[in-house]
Amino acid sequence: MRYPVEFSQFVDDSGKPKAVERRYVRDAFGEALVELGVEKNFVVLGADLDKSTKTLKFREKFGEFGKEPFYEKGRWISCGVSEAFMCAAAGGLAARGVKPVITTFARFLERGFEPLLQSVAIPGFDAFVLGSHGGIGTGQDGSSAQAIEDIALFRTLPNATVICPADYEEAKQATFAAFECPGIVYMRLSRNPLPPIFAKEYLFQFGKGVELIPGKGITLVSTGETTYPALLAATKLKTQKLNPRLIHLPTVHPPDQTVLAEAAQDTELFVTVEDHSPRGGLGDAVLEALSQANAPRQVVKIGVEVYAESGTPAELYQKYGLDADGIVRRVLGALGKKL
Amino acid sequence: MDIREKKRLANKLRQIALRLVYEAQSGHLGGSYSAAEILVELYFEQMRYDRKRPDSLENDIFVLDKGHVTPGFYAAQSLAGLLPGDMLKTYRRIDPKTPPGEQMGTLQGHPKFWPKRGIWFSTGSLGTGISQAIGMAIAERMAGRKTHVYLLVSDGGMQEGITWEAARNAAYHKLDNLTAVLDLNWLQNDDFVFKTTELLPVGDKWKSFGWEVVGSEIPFPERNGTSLSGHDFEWLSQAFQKAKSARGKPAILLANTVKGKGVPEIENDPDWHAKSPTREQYEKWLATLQAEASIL
Repeated sequence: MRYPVEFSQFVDDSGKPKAVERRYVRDAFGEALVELGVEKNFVVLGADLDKSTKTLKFREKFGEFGKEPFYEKGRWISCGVSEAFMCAAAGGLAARGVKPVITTFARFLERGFEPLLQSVAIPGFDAFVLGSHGGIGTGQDGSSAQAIEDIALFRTLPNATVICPADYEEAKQATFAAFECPGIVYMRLSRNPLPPIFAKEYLFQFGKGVELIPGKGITLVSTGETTYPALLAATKLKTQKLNPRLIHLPTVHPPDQTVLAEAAQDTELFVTVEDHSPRGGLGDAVLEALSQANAPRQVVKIGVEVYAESGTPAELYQKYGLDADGIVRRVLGALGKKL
Repeated sequence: MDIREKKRLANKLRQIALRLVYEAQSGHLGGSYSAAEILVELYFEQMRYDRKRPDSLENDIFVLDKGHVTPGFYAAQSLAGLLPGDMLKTYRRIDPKTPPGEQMGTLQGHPKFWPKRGIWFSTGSLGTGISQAIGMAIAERMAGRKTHVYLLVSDGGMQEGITWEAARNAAYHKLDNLTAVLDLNWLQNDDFVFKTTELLPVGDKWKSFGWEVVGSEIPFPERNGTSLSGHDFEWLSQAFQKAKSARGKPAILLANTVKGKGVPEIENDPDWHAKSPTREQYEKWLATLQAEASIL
């Protein structure tokens, strides 16, 4: 689908990024959970990161299981720092008809991955899984906290959908939509507040890619936190007499084969951008989709190829080539040009 | 049910389990035999369920964390009337009819969630069943159901980190609707437990994690000639009653058992964790079990 954005929303006349009011995607998730909790029957499992995953509001409103004032009616379950337990216990809850929402950092979900696949994926249960703080954008905590494998892991589960919203509005809508989606929905969020891209009129749809910038010849494909730098990169490339298209894929798996095949009709070079390993993540999802659509094209995959380090998110994006300049360099390099 | 009848059922369970492993030429006999009396006590004395409605939410729940002992588990389910007898033929066999990815109409080597057959869990990776049982015990509390969750765990499973995450959580949530039985046969896949790692003391560990512990472990080297609690129906009945009277905490029974119990050739033999008998062995052991049945 198309959702054309105005460059003036993001850059000033000289091409510099505008100061915008950034908002946390995790806030969107936490607020949506509270609204959803009134109508939907589910429980939230937490592993001592509820301040960070923003499930505290849900916990306050719907209470902790087993504790006053709700006791047995409490719908937030404290698991302590026990991600393996949390992921397997979610399967027990689902077995008895209670929908689980599993919440922690993307990095620590990786520890719960095997219990999750045994206890939730194999029996075929519905579950919402939140992995917050994905990617090197997590910043100063360093590589131990920077998950760059989580999307790849969840993409391998036969009954899972993987979504990476790019801003507050999309994260909120995606959270609501996730409760209508069968199977496991893995939502990967970033730690950082992100610039607004979508207005309230935007409509998030599962499995649908979004063409943010029309173009020809080159197609950039991004997801999550990297959609904003990809957007800035596109504005820069437009000044280089290039006409890149930008497609944002909020659903990394299954990728929108239709929007990619359509773009392939007038695209020689695809460039994927993700804050994740380019092996098994968005880049490979795009490669597979193009191949399946019988539209083989050159695909340059920009991602995180090594274990990174501490630093501010902006410093890390610059050093590891995920910022606008880094993306532009890779695009021009692929075309045999220099910035 | 009187003890004689339970002994007959345990013998029957062993015969069925032997047939399952022999016919499939695959499966775990040793751990099925150590748990035979425990399974009979659970299915024929402790658990409350409607055998005509295996998927009823009002039934008590059984979770097999030691998911490899399906020969014993499916045998118990079939004896209890929860599993049609002809389904046993499908054990560990491919389902030629069902499309890939759908609920198969066959009994997998390790149990997969299948409420219509009274299977509420998916196990095989040790320790995940304990956490699933806790998730269920929480769900039962939330729904206000008066069900009880029973859980069978193994000494091998005590070596998984997730087991202790689960142990702490069950106590924290005060789940007195959960009773576990630890099948302490002291053997695991490769070798004896004490030659693989050290688990002692076991009861003290569970106690310190906030569980009501019923019974105590007898270390393997010290138990020669000792009558073992996990094969003693009188002990099992009393232990379950004691466990269920615990308030505000989950309980665990330490059942001392013999791996391979019932067939002397495989008792306490680490080779018989997951081996299948030859035709000669099958016929001989079946005769041993039938001879035992005739005097019960």
